[in-house]
Amino acid sequence: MEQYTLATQLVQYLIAGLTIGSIYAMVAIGFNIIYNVTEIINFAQGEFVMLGGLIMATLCHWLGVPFFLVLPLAMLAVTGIGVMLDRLAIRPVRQPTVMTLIMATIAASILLKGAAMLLWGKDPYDVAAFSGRVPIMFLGASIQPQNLWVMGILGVVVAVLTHFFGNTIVGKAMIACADNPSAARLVGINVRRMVLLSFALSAGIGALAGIVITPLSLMDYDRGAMLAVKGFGALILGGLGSFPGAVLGGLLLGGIESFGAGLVSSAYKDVFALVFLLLVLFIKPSGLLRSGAVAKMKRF
Amino acid sequence: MLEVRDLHVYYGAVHALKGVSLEVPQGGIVTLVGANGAGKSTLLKAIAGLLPARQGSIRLEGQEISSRGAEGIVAKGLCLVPEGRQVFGTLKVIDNLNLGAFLLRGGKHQAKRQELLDYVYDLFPILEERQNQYAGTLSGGQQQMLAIGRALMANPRILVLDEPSMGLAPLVVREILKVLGALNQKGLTILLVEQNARAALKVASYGYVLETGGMAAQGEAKALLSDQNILKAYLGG
Repeated sequence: MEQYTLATQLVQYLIAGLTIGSIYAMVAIGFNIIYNVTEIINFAQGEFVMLGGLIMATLCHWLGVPFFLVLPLAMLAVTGIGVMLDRLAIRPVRQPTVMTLIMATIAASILLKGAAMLLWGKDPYDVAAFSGRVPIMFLGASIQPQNLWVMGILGVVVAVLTHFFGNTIVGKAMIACADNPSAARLVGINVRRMVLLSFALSAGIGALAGIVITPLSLMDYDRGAMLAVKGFGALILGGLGSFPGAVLGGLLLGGIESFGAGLVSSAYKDVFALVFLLLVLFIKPSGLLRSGAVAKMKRF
Repeated sequence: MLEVRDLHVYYGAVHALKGVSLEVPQGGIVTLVGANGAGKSTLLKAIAGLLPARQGSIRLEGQEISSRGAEGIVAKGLCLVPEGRQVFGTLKVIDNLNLGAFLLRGGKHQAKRQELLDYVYDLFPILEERQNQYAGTLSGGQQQMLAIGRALMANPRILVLDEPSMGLAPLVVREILKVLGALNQKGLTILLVEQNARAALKVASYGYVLETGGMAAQGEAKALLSDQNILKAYLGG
């Protein structure tokens, strides 16, 4: 029997924390994309994650096709749902204010959760791990290949989005819409199309997070809300609107949860994360990576 | 070039424009002056497609544009430099300019975009110096130059400006008006709205005076400037 030292345990907790943290980060990034274009917090973001996992599971079981063929299909389906959310819940609002639109997303999240319960029932679903379930030993800790997939996919998402918002004209146009929608229209940007694109993008990223985490922690209809809360916490922690902040916030939150659960008690794992969040809000209310100057330019 | 006929526009429940007509000839520089609240900005917003026209027509080169929406009107060659500059403060100067050419995106227009950018930098060298600075950190005058530059990046045939002198030092105002004159010399049609009526009438060839939603007077800029009654009544003496 192998000896588990404190050091190997710490490595184990770190891996677990970074994995769940990567998921929180992806949820936070999804929040950010929509927030940055519309100033709306989309509370249906967790539902995208849940739907990604469940649709993936269903497609795999039904079609029995290998995974990488189904993955884009599942993402596409959830992206479609994101587009519908904009079309059916956001765009028709007659006199849109940020608050009414946020309420519309809350309604949508309840609706999606209910529909998922009717469609999939209350049982959790599993999806085969991307590259098997034979653990890799690393510094005495055992790592599932799926853990690496989760972190790797976060890396890919961050790289792609950094390029998109930093270097492409459509990415900049999305930022411009958030900055000043009427000026954006005056340079010929179709603001509604950009809002639609933001919903599609963050639905796709949410789905990806759901797909990649399901082999590790299963997925059921009820998981969305908690993921949204954690992702939102990560977002606030890192600073609303900041992409590096979303990643840092997600990984920190995941790490604190994991170490807290492992070293103290798993019953309190949510408490550690929330207490840390409160501390940050007391000390630096704008979040870790958001400058006060930028925060002042936003309405909230 | 631009022809507005009997335009009625409501701002919420307020009947802000009550049958306004105006014409800007090809290659001309026309100014619209009037007191605060006369409806100048409302008229420009309606022309640019940000506000819907309840009645009347807005034609650009003979084509009705009043139902096209702001994006479609930019594509037709009319650009509005909005009141209060409205640059994208959270983006860099260069990004603001590139977004001005949003409708010319894609590899096909690469050469045209570069040409426009060089042209704008030539007009406002300070923008090239500050190209990697966030637009929100520029001074008011520089932001106004950026707003004009951004509009020029769309390669407009008619440029519409809403109070470009607002809140700026007299020296900067003079510089901006000088650039507008130079642009007009190069063939750009300009519609300039100003509260600073004297300065505007000095660069323009023709002027309109707007008062509480209707045209109160119009005529050659020189004639308006020398008309004591108009100066007293509408232009503050």
